[in-house]
Amino acid sequence: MSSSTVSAIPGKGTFRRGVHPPEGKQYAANCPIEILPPPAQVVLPLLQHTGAPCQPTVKMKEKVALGQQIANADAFVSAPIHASISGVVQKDSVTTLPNARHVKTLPIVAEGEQLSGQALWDDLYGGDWSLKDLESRDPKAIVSAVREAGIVGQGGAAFPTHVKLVRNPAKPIDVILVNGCECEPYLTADYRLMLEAPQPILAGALLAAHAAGARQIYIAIEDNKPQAIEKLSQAAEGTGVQVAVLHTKYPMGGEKQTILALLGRTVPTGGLPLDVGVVVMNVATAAAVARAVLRGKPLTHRVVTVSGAGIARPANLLTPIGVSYRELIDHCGGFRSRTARAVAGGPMMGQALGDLDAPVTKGTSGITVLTEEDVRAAQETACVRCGRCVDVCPLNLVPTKLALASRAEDWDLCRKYHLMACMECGCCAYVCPAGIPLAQLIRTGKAKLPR
Amino acid sequence: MSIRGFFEKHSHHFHGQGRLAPLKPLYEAVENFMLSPLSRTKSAPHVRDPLDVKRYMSMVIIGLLPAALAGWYFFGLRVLAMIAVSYAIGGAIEVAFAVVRKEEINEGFLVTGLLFPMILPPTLPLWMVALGVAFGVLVGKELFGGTGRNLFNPALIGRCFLAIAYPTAMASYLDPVKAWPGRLFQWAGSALSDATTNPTPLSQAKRVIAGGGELTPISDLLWGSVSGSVGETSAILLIVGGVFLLLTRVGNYRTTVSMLGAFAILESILHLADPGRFVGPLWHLLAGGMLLGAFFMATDPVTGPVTGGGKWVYGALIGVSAALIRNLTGYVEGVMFAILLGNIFAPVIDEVFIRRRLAALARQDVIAPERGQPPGQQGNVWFEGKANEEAAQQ
Repeated sequence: MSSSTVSAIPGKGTFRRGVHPPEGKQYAANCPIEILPPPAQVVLPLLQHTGAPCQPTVKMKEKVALGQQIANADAFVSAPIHASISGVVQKDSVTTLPNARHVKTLPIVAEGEQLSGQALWDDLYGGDWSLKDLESRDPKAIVSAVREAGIVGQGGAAFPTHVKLVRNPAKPIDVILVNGCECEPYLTADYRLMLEAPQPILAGALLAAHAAGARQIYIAIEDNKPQAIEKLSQAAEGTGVQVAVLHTKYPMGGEKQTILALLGRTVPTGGLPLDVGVVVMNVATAAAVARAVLRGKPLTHRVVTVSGAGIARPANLLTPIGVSYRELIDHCGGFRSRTARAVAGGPMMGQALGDLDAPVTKGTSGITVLTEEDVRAAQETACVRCGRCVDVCPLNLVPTKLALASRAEDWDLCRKYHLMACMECGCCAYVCPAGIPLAQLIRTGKAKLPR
Repeated sequence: MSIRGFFEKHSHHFHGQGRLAPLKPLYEAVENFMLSPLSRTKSAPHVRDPLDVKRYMSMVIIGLLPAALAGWYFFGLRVLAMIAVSYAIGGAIEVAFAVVRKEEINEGFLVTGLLFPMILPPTLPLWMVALGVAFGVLVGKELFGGTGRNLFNPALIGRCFLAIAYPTAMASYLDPVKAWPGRLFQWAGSALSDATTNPTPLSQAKRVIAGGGELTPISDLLWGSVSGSVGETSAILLIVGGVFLLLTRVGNYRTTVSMLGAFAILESILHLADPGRFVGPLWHLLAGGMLLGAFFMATDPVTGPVTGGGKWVYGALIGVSAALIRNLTGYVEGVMFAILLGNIFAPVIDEVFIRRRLAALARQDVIAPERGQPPGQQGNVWFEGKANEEAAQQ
């Protein structure tokens, strides 16, 4: 890759500590995005984001068209939900998402003609993405378009995007950081999107910067994705968007790590990127922002990676939100023998799927199907105080103490050791030679910690 | 029948109401040793680094093997008998405690059992080996609560006990046989029958300083044809085994580097100050138990600090103490006491470095720790303000 197209960055390009798990990207990295045929039914959870749940805005048996709003909430930190296929609304129901949340759902059974194949691709990511009248756009209009489109962070946390873009005089934003690190092993959805749809990503980044009043725009990509770096650097020429190459390391895609590596700024413990003047958004989120603002289309589809040694035919699927995990797995030829479990997300932070009929949500980045060999672990034994967890914690916590305090439910000690600062990246449990489930213990502690 | 099949067939005897249920820890230890783990991860992260405690211990044993084999070559078959006794007696105590406590047997003992004979004189009577390992495992480890909870290195506790209880036997060393095939097929007598008190390089050095004899040449220290403890012979083999440990990340390089570095620096200063009284740093690094201690004893994770910075300080403390004891006290060797001293300080050193981490976290903390709520979920103050503002406008 030529150095002229890749920007110099203020940060060191890496952060201290972290781990290097096997990348597993080889399964699906070279599978072009495939368009899932329209499903017979989708089930749309009314809470797919961090924030307030939505209430239905349509009635049972009502006919809805693709992209029509079906649920909304008045709360500021929330995002409306839209029909991802054309069809008829069914009686509301309840499902359990992989993150163990019980949520209300609205099923929609397909009826009438569906947008599919190349036409769907063109509607979502194809065609022209020119940005001629960017300066004349009202930042507030961009924010409200983003909110109307129901856009939430597609990297995993699913935080409503419009909240991050609202201008706040107390905390001005100077950098928009579009995150294409995708440090989670196996997942390649963002990678494929960067290769196949660089234009909407750039357009979204520019729109977001205009909305938030940021002057600098970076797209962060790990150096194990040279093709994506090349593609985006070429596409970004002359737009003012800079492509920044970061070291490949887990969890580089964690926003605090990306900001530190790229900008050299440390986000406060328990703070947010906006505390250091940065808005971070995933590449898929940026593309959705462009689509919402320039085409007035809501977030109804996303790219989901189905990967791992346990799946017959790994793929990156463009799927409607609300389709069941089972349908994606069946589309990819089902499980191989010796499959141990399917995980929503990647192997480091993903949640094991208990129910394959659960629906894909806006934050679902992939399904990783792991084999018996993959999930093998040492039997839990006593801590030998080797200090490897302390060595790898990217947030400089002391995981061994946190896990011990969480297990003993000693909440004072938990607070003293900054339990809530943990982002659950899982590095500590990954390296623990004694097989202690540190991340799980800490997660449980965080959930139980008295407020 | 496959090995796994064998275990599956007999497993029911050891579980639940099986007639051998009390021996479950023993069964599990053997199963664990023979087979790769059958357990699976339960939640995220779903994948694990393959370097588990079992491999940790195997790596240490592999790293120790070259030096152990050299001990056999130079000092004879007794070395093998000492290792066997150490494993048998120490292992029996470990198993007994595991059965009584209904806990699993920890692989950690496999290291202690081999390490202990390495730091004993090759002429030591076997019953003393048995007594020493029993004391080390019982007092040094089990009384503290077993693996992971001991304050001191069990092997060193055993040796310390023997050195105080049987000073003569613990100071009786054997001259190595250099010419092929060494003592590979020979049983050299025990201390009590032969009463050999050949000087080790370090005790010889004290005599040289007092005005008699010659210093052991560095080449002898490198190749190992010197008198001393079983595992302290060849510096080259110790370095090979030790570097293997560091490269596999089983031994933490921080401890080893800082221990050897601090030791070498202090030895250099002493040597420059008075070359007549103090031998040079390279010689001291290669002589006695320094390398064995730095690569295999001080790196014992259980008895050292967990923080990276703590490991640097811990190693340096041991290195400095070892140099001081060796040169400025009546003892000829200081590594054992230095490491035990380091063990005492390890928790304190850790506390200092952990407090530094916590202070750094608190300095950056925008949420008061006592509120302890995650960003986003508690409703960031600014979001709420913003929401109210919007509501007012409408």
